[in-house]
Amino acid sequence: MASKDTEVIFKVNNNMTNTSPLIFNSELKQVVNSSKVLVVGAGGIGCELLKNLVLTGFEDIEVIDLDTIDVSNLNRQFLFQKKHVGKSKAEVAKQSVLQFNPNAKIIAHHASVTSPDFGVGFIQKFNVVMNALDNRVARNHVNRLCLAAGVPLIESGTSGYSGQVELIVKKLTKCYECDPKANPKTFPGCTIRNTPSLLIHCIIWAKHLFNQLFGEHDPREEDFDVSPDPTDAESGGDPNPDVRRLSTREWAKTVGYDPQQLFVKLFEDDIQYLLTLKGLWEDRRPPTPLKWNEALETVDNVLQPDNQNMLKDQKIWNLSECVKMFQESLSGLKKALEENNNGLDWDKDDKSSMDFVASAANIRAHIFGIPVKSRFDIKSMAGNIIPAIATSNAVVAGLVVLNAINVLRGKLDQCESVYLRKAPNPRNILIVREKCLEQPNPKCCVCSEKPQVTIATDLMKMKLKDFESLVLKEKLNMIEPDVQRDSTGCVIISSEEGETDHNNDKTLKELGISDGTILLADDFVQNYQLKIIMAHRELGREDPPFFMAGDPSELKPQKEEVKSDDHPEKNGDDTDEVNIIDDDDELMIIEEEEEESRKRKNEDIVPVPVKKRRTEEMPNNFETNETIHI
Amino acid sequence: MVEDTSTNLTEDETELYDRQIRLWGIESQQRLRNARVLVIGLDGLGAEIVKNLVLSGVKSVLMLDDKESIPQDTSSQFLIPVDKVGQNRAEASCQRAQNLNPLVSVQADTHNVSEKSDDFFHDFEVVVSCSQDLAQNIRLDNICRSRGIAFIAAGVYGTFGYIFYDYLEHTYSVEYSSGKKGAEVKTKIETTSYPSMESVFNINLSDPEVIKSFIRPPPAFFILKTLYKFREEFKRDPTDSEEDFKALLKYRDTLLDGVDYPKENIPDVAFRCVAVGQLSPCCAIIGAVVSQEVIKVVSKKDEPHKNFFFFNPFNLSGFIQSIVPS
Ligand SMILES: [Zn+2]
Repeated sequence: MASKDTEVIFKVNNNMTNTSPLIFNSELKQVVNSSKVLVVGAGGIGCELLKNLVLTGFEDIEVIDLDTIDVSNLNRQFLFQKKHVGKSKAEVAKQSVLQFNPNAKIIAHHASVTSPDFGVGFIQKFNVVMNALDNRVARNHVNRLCLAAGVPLIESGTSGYSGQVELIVKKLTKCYECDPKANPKTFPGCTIRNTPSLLIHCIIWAKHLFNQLFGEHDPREEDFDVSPDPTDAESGGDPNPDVRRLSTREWAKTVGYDPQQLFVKLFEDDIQYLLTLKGLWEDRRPPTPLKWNEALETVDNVLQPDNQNMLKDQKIWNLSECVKMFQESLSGLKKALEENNNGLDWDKDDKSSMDFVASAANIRAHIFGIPVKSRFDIKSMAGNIIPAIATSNAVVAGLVVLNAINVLRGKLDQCESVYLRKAPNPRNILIVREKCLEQPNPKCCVCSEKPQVTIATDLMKMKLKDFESLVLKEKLNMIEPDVQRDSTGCVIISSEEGETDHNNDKTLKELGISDGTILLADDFVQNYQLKIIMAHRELGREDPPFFMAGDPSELKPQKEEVKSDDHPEKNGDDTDEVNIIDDDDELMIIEEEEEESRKRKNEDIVPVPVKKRRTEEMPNNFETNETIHI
Repeated sequence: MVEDTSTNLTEDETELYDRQIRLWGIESQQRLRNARVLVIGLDGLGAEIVKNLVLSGVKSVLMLDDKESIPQDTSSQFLIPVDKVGQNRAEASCQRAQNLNPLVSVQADTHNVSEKSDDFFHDFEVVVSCSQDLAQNIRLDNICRSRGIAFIAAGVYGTFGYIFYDYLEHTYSVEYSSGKKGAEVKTKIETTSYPSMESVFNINLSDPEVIKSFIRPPPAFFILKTLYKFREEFKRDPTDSEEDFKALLKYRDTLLDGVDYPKENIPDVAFRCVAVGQLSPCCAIIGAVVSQEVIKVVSKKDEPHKNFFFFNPFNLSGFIQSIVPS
């Protein structure tokens, strides 16, 4: 039975007269040899790509990667060895593949692809661009550059055993942004600061705490506030309390990062204070403040996972072990801070940083009666780790190069998307090629003829600087936007430094923007112009700071629906499970239940993280991350 | 095959293998670390397989090859430094293979596989044979079957690739759930069995009863048989010369003579695709599929492939096929 399908595969292709199989003869070799290609990313897929490219005969290659090499890369990023840890991925990858073909001319850029150095003019030098990236921001950016430059882009990604490859060519195929991607999960700041109910809330809190205590000074530091928030509408407290607090950072310095004093403030005093906000605990289990001495001696029985061959990190700490780990990690971090005046970046692979977050999150979980987890599991959640293996990257990179060769021989129609599956589909196909190219979305806010979006927000509350950072940069991924009013041409935001700073703290309303105002945004780096229709909407306590839709009719109030999709409490424990998007490795995909994808189609309005009521970007289930239809 | 062990991984191993342990779990990693693999034939495909297995953290990889490398190897065999062309392929691959992972024992053996006694294979859990001829593969498969060793034969020809698997009897665990969100994930144990290579390639395709009772073989199977035939006659793989092309067409026609199978399913152009040496991206793809199946069979986790995998040269997709004598 299965074999019949296979026959069909062969036949279909034979009958298509315009299909010509890839025969790598000397003429094609010549074409390959004289082509100039760009590889964006020198991680798991990037290393494999570079190898395949030079072996296949590509000799004119540029590679861009901002990253440096980490030990946890070495199980798959095979151009790197232990001695290279800490060095530039782009540079070491170049040196390694040059040994495969010393005649190749490779230029390595240890830089971010979003830097203005790599504008549309830079992209235009290449015959084809291959993405081997690990995050959506960079993917969106390269997508726009290639659309503007008219250069074919081959996009790829893996997640565990699965992977995908797709060609992006303006007007011919979907672009990377044609299908709105589900947003990373976010949590309201009051949940994080006042009423955590899941371990993930405690983990986010612990990461914020890390930034407060050790992070580089960030102008948005108030966003990482970890102390109780008395202005929470549900707290029943004084909405305008006297602000008595010194910044957490300053205070911690004055006590020399003393573990006991920090513990008492964070896990006893602050919790006592939270208990005074009685409104919060009417329908919730109140937290239990901890005393340092008692906690240090509490060897509670933790239910260990049923696994004889457990890793050290998979053992769940009891409270006493958590407190000791908290103590130990603090002294490590204090030392690191002394050596690094600019502050520390949280890194899941740094021992003290990870120990600190795991122990602080578990202590807080203990206080709120939330089940704790092992350091191993917390690392996955806090670091948004997507598991990555050599073999999936190798398959995907092989497919990318085969598609690239088809692009160069002018057979764009033979570059259908390809999926690597963990297990074969019902027709026994493991590496599945789509039957045809996917048509562009005519309403895409990036690649359509006249891209436009509608933004609904509280125009009386949203400040211009928030509009710029949350809407234009975070949500719409612009790098250096200029914005003017459509009707008057009046410049509202200028990419020229300082030119419109005086507007920053004004609300949109104060700048004369009202329901129906049309703004024109232009990012010169991306050569991307977008029409933004502004709509006014009053926002509720749990609402994100704005809503966005490609089609204004989609923005009719349907708050309930939107909320239920985003509001973590309603998702129950699911939220706490293995959800991962990576920040570090190749991202994406996984097939999803049909039901899921249907749901997503109706969900073009994507809520976005709040600023004032701080929420944190969270990994969503990959099922809800990207859709694949096979 | 692989004995279970409770030996714990070291801190170094945990750190190095972190991203894959999070995928396949600690037991799989421990089983991998006890697995000894023999890779025969260090062409471009062999190099890919060695790379992936050394990275994965098996116990040891022995590379067996008596051939000297030739300049064409440099277009797919990245383990051989350009200045070592002309030297033995296994030996020349050793240093780079070892650099991939110092925790794995990597060694080279420069003998011809046909000189190896049956007992030689006893020391391996998995034997992977790259680009050998049919007679050699059948011999290796029979030895492995008699000793309970997993056997995989694979080859890459241009954009065509095949993998043959014989695990004799393979028992593995597989996770399942009702598919509902939040449903409990349970584990069950399954067993599957494989026919020998000899029995598969001896299927009498011209017997109308056989071809009727037996699930119709895919065109890829005939391409493979044609390539094996060419190899048997010429003692080498085809090049893109017109003579070789004609010889391949002749073998195809002979193969199909008296077989109830439409010739247009195996168009002439297929034999242009296969005759261009080893294409690096195809070696990478087939090599990765082989390696992941080695990892799967060693870790005894998840359903293994049926006995064939083919990479379709027409649309560059890969499918699994069961070709089993009735
Ligand atoms: Zn688009």
